[in-house]
Amino acid sequence: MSADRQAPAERPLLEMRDVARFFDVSPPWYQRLFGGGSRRVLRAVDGVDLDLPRGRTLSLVGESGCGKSTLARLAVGLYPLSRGSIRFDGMEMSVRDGSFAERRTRRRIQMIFQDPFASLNPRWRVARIIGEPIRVHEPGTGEAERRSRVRELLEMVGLDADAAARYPHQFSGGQRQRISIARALAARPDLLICDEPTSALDVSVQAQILNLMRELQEELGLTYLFISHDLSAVRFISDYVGVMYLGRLVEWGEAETLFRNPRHPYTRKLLESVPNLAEPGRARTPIAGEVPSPLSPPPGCHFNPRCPLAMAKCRTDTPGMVRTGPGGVRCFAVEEETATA
Amino acid sequence: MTSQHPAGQARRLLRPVARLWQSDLVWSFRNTPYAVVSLALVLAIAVTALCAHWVAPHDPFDLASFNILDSELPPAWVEGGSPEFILGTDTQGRDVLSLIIYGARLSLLVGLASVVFGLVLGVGLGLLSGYVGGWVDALVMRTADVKLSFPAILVALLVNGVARGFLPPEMHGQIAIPVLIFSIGMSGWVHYARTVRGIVMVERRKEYVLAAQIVGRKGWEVALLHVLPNTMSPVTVIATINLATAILLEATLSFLGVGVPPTEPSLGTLIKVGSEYMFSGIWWVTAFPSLLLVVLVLAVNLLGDWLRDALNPNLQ
Amino acid sequence: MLEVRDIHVEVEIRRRRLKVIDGVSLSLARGETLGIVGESGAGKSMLGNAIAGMLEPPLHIAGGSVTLEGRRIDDLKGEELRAVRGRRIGMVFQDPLTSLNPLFSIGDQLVETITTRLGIGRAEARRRAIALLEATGLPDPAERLGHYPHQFSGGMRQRVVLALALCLDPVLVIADEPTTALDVSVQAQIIRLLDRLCREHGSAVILITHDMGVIAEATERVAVMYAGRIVEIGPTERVIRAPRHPYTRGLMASIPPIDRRPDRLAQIAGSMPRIGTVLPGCPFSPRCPSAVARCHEAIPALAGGNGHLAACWLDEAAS
Repeated sequence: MSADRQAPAERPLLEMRDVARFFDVSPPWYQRLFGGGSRRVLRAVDGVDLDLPRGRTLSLVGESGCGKSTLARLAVGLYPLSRGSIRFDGMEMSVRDGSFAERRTRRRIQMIFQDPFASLNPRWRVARIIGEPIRVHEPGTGEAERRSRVRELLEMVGLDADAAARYPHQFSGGQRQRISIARALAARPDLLICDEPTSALDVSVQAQILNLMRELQEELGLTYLFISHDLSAVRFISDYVGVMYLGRLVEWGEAETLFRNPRHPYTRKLLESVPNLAEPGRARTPIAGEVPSPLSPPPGCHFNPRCPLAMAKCRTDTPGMVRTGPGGVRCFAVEEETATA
Repeated sequence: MTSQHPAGQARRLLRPVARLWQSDLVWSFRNTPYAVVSLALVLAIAVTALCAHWVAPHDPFDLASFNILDSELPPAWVEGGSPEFILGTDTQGRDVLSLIIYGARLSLLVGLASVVFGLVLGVGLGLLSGYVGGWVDALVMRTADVKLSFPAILVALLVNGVARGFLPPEMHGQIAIPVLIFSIGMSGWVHYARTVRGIVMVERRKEYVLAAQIVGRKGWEVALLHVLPNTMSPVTVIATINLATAILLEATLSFLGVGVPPTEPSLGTLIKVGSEYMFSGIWWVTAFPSLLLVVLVLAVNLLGDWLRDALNPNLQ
Repeated sequence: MLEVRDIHVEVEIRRRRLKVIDGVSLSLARGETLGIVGESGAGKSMLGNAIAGMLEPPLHIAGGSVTLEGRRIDDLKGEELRAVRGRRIGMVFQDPLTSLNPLFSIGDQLVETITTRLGIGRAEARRRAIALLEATGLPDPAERLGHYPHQFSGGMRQRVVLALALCLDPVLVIADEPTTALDVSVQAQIIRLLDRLCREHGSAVILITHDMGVIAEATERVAVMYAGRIVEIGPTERVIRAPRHPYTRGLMASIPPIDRRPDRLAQIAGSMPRIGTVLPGCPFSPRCPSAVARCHEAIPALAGGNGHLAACWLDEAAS
């Protein structure tokens, strides 16, 4: 580990403090009135603290319902926060006032999506799709200049210049994902939120996109917030990893440390459940049970019903984040272990 | 280099046409005989009607041109018919063929105008409702429900009655057609609104719409630039089928006497006027406009059916 | 037990006939587990559907034969086909909801299937259904018999589908991406279950997936498909450790390793040709890093010893 990695020389680009987002999923009031049923709140993200250093990649992993996609959408401002704050480059982003300053800052956070077939407007030509951020944020740009920017961007993501005149349906999934990346880059962002960008792609195409993302990061100094359930893709792309379970961050830290020495029982189980190609025929050890519904998570530590280390305390109390090096773990068992050691 | 070459230039200009010709939609059209026949019929009727002034053998508005002696002549091929009036004449001696051509023109114009009116209203409300949601959505959709519980004819009669009540009698003639268009359009908007709302609610959650928001587009820009164009295929289908309904409704209302004033020939008024003489043996005055109405409505409907299948991605 | 010989599947879209599967042959012994792996568009699901007689028009078998236990099944129709498919072949799909009728309780569906196909009484069928569900690890099977598919979680539903697929002791189970829609932690459970149940029932398995990890874990032999053809087939361990076809090599290399962080992943340039692309040579030749002139001219056949075959001109066995 090099020295500059450990020294927090500058302020993180993205700082999340106690970020939470609740969704009201109650039936409409007239149904509640006549058919019974009560108010129900989905705590999609419930109190997450994270820092994302400039020029690095932080990945969020977890199974369905863990809130990682919601957190991504909160970071990009698609939903308002229910609680907490998000600061981007020192600026408070949780207040949406629609001001010029806010718009100018928002431009610097862009997003790429999971489904390459839904993320491009099917009725727009590629040139218009990639040119849109330029049109919005640099309205003074002339037609010719915009066209040459689009050509540059296409080249940057590895597509031919003649792609500009075509429609999205004429491209394969991987090529569409490149177009998506080019559109995000057109806004000249600092932070790119990547919501499962390779989950819908085949492995050989995934490798192309992951390589491209790392090249672009090096070239443009981009910061990535990478959301995925695929641990091997995460391993390749990340400097830092956060593990989420039912709306909470249960462990985070430097990727290297987390993959070599996972602390939280859930992280350990998750890593064990990845099939290992180096040992074909070896059966994985599955985690017992399934992820409970996020509508009614178990009390205490949400993982307790599936946890091999669960104690009485885990069923009633919620563990706090214990700092371990640059990262942290939320687990009573780890807490005790650290205390006795 | 080749761009200077005239042949190359022509080829470039023709390329979009060639691409259209090769497109799936056109291919499907070329391989669906009933669609080809329907379109041909609709086009033939529409072109004839629009060029009524030049095509019609007589001018039914030129009082000087008809002769009472020519009245009630049967079609040319029936005994007593005259080759001058192929489809016979009515009780005032007007040429039935010319009446039909002019009548079709008015019917088509009223139909088209009311479709456009209903479409703009319905698509606008549907977009608003689906995109904004909340109480706006509830208001629009409940209004639509209320509207649906009235038969179209009742709405038209109501609008008509109100308009007549508020305006001086001498204006009735002038406002009759706008009122007709308004009332037929009012009866059609709900279909557009509901369909568009449904699509908008699906589309606005799609990632390309989110992407446009993140890029920094304002809400109404996203709605108009991104969401609206993607609702157009089903709207086209509804509009086509709605055209058939609108033409029929115009005929019905005119037949009931609350549509086009009897002095103006539309398919509906012609059928109405003709029907009064049907039992005295003068069948042709009402039969030919009815026949044309049936053919026109059927053709438009078949066209709409084909379009719905051709634009349905699930059937491709 | 299962013999697929030179099968061709075509689809007629608009005015064109496109080849989806182009001459695939394979055989499966009783109780064996064969994996079929490939990327989207390789035709792996079509192959599964062709074997099970589940191709929907405009897809159809354009040549070749499928023989199950010595009986040709590719030309069966109507009731005969349903009898074979229901009795001898069990199907598991990616989305469990496609295999379950949402309007009937899972108990009704299981009991109905067992009574109609095996001709035993309802009480006996019910007992079998409970035993089966218990074997799949579903908690309280007797009580949950009355539940409807939507009342189960994804993993539990896939367990029910497995029970339904195995309730008639089929000789062959075709599982098409059975774990793709599930969470990683549940994936491993279902793969283990599939493995155990098929062993218990003596059923052979064709496991179709895009996930090399699942193949590595659960299959004895694997066929790698590319553009409608098998490009490599052999014992799973050998195919993974020492792949012979450049496509398999590229595929294996492009999977990011879990135990280290390389600077760059090996990648295969370009993407799979669109369905219906006709090439005179090896379908992989346009993307192949080591293609020679011959690769662009003629299609190589599967060749090799010890049951490990590859279709590549550069492979020693071919030359």
